[in-house]
Amino acid sequence: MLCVGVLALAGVLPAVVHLHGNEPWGAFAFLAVGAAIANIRGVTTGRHHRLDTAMAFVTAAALLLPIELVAFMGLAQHGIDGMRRRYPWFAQVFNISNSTLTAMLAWAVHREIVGTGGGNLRGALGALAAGATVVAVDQTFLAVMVRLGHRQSFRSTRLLSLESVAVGLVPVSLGISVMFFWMNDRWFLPVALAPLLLAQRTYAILGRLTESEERFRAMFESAAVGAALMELDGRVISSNRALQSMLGCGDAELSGRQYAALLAPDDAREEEDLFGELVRGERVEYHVERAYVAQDGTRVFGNASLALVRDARDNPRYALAMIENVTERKNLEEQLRQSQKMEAVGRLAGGIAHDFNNVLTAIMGYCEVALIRVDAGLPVERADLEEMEKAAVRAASLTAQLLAFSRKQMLQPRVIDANEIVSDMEKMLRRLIGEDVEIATVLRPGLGAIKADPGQLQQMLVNLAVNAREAMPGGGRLTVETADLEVSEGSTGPGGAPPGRYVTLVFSDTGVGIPPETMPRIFEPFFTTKKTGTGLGLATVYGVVMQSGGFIDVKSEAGAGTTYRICLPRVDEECTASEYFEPQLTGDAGGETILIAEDEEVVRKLIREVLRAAGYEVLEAQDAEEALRIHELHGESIDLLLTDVVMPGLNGIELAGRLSSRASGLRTLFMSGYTGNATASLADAAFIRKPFTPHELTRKLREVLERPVEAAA
Amino acid sequence: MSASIRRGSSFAPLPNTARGSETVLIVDDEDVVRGLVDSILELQGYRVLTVACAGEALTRAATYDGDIDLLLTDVDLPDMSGRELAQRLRGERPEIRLLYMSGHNDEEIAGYGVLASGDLFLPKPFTVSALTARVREVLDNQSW
Repeated sequence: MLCVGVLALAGVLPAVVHLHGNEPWGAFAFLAVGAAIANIRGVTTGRHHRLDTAMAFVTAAALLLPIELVAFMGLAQHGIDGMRRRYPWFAQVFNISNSTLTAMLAWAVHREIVGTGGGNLRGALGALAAGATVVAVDQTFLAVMVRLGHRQSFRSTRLLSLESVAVGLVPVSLGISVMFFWMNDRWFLPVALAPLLLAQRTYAILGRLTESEERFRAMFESAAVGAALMELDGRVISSNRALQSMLGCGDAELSGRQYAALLAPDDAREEEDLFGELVRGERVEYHVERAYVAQDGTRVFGNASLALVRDARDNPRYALAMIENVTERKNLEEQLRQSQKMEAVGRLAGGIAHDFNNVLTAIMGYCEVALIRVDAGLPVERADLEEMEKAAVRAASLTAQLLAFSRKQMLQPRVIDANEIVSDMEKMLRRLIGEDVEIATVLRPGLGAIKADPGQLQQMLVNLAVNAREAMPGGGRLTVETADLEVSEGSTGPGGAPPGRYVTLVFSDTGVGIPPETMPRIFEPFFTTKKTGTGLGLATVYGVVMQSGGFIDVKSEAGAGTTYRICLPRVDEECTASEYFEPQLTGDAGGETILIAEDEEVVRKLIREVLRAAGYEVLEAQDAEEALRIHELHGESIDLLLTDVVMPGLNGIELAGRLSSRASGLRTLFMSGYTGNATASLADAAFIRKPFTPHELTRKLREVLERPVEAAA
Repeated sequence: MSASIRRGSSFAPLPNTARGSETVLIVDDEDVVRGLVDSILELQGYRVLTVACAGEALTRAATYDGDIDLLLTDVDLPDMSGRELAQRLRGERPEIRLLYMSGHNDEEIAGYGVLASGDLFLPKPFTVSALTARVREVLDNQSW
């Protein structure tokens, strides 16, 4: 509206002025009104630039008018506007004197160059110099004012910057045009003023844009959350302070780097995949917790949200990552986890030690009784030995449980008949569970085969039996049932088993039951309701079932007993021969010679006795070096090397390697109680896990001796 | 629980091992230990009452007519601590002597207040001779 007014005025004024001939007063009237209106209708172009359109009139005045009239331009420009806006007096004085001085200096410069006459070139030069003077003086004065008034540094006012000067030159050059048109044909003045108005509009829009850009930049820059703007190929365009301080580097170090390259290597691959899906539009956004590598190489953690930034046509333009630094929280969590782990390990060690002490009391006690009897020339009781065996089985189950739990036990899955395992274990379970609890087994004839580690399955039976016994302190009944189960399409079996064919093992007791509040935690490691329990029993059962690809569910009612249902996938393969407790050593030994390498003396002696009793020739070595020497002496007569895996000096695997390079017909059977890294390289080699029973050892030995040599090594 | 030792054909005390004829109440929830202790002490001539928890021990003591000379109990029973059981039994039978056993370490046992009580204590695992000697020692101690 006001623009239209200004335009009309600019059209009418030349006509009025024209009527009055060439009088400078006419020009002054025009320029003074123009400057006043331009000032009232001032344009803000953002905090740091200003398009002062009034300067066009001030410049024209300096070029056209005598100095007496130029001296009033400041008052004309600021007088009305200053009163309207109720500026304080010192601001008014400053504004007016700034404009006045600027105009007068420009006038002086122009006069100095053009003099009284001069050609076109001189005139142009003079006009340009005057214009430059306007910009320089005006901006400098303003900068001083802002510096003093707002206590800002010169640099931060940006008034003396190149951009600012360029913007200042726009009205000044328009002022020169006004001067030119005035001197030639005043009817063309509107043509000169039109670009001024257009420039005003343009700068108003630019100003709003600049302000909004500044607001968003400030938001981006000073946000507490880290942020990075990226190209669609993942290159970082800019980052904010929070992200820079999180990663310990500046914007320059981040710009141009791939976003995924800021992540720890193990996270980077997944990030690339997700980022690709984001860019291809397969996901709208994603939220992930990531480890980043800071400049100094330390790991920092961030909760990152990534999304696309789209343009007005909805085309993806950039990707934006917002990253919250959660390093401190992660560190605290880690400390907590560590202390919980230590506490758990402490409890575990206490529980194991307690159970072991009980077992050892029994073993030592019955042993001592047997020794005393022997010393006194009395016969040793078979029942005492059975008690000792029972205690030792419990000790073995404790270590197996620990190993299974720490996943250091080597799995030896085989195709087996669950019925066979249950019936073989029945006698042992009966002894374990005591006389007050009755055991009943209901075994489905012709039961399907399953693939699992028989040792682990035995472990599972022992744990469930021990649990059942503890649930029935006053006696009761434990039923072990096996059955085939077919889960049809569209339904699920126990423990969420998907459709398929299974073999189920069901354990039900008539014990105290599990209270509902305890139920969700029963499979948790270290969770126990007993003061001295290790909390590993059911956790191990759960682990065995999971590792065998099976499912488990539990139903219990307080006072009405507990039922565990275990579903193991059925396989259509023939069962391999089983190897469980049988009272005699069935070795079918053919007098072969076995070289034993074992550093534990008690174990070596036991093996020697067992193998001699089974009819083998035995050579013994306490380490690999001795074994190599013995092999040099006896060479060809040795049929099999039975070696411990972990030994001081050369280990069992290295020993086997050296011996088999000497004698190609030599078979090897490895044994170990611990299956850490050392045994990982055993792959398919023949292996027997400690502790083993004499029967297990002789069976395994026979099996290896009867295999073809290629398969045995 | 099988008391295999005394079922043996050679039902005679172990030679060179402390003996006695007093009545001992054994309380331990561990079958393997209870069976062993029961057998040994019976073999050595003691009258033995054997139970698996504190509740049973109190019932047994209440219904037993004769003297009970010694309570040999694990410090950590499923239903209450051995020390609590001892205090309750002392209420009924002030003359009863005490011997605790446990597979826990010292720190844990301290938690049950046993060591502080000044009562005698037999750490597991123990030998037959340590058991019989300790039982004799408690029974023979004149300061009771």
